Amino acid sequence: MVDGARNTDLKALGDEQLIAQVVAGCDPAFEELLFRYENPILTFCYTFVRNRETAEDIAQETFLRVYRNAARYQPVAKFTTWIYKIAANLCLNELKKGQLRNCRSLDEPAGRNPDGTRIIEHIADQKHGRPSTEAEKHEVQELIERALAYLPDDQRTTLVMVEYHHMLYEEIAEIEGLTVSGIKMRVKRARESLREALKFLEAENNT
Amino acid sequence: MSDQATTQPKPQEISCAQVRALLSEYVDCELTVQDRANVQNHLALCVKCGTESSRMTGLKELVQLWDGLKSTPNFHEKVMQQYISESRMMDSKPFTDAADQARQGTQRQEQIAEDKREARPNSLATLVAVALAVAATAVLIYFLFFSNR
Repeated sequence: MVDGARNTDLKALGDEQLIAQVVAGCDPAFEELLFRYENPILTFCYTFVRNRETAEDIAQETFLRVYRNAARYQPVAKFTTWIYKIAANLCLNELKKGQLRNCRSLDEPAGRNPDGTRIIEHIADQKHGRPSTEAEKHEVQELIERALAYLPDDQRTTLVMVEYHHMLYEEIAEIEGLTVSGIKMRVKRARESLREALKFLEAENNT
Repeated sequence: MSDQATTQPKPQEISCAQVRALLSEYVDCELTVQDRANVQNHLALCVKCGTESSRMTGLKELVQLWDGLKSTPNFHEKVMQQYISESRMMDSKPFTDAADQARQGTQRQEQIAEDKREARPNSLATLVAVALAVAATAVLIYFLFFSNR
């Protein structure tokens, strides 16, 4: 089934059941996994490499590796942990290959000592039912992306795993090959860096 | 209800510094029941830490608002085409093939072991031949140089 239509029976199955179907040679089961994870995996890769084209290439390779290694998948590990681990390894290899540095610098002065609160409040206002236009939504998305871009790579990826992918510290620790306390520290530092980034953006908006 | 009451931990007093150190985990619901109770207890009484907690929640909500990247039909199509071409290359029974490959691997290893077993007598024969050649040379040297004396 390459016509893009989604099989309703397969939609009801769990990831682990779908992967078993993939092993049995069921194409629609693979496509259902693709439907489920294409956006999250693409976003995950983008958080690492900060380039849509590269993120798409890595995401594509991630899905193909899922297929190639489906028979070796052990249901003791969550499917999400497994697929994100594949993606994370591919992204790290890409970063090593290109020696990319993907965060911006916060070295410039923050200006009139803002604390980033106004930006947070502005966004919170839009979230809580205030009428928001497409332009405003776009503005918020751009702002978040800009703020995230200032975070060091490891902090950004970990924070996005917590907030966007809703992963538990334990799961992130498994994907990143760190201890849970290491992840706790990293999330804490990521939030401090994010606040610094918002201060910087707020100062930039004021000038 | 009474059961629930008995399982609720009794909050202990903790300092502002301790609360600040735990806030990130608190907003992520990653604290132990006891630590969570301690933080909640402190937040109910301390305005400054309450404000800090709200800011932390604000930061969390901010990142959660991010829509991330949206896949395009082109991307979906590309992955499916690649998948189809790979799976067809494996003769529509990819995992039987994988099992065959594993079996072939085992057979190859067995063949290597067999070869080694066969190779062992050959090496022994070579060793014996070399030993005989050395002995013959020694005898020849003896007769050439020492037999006349």
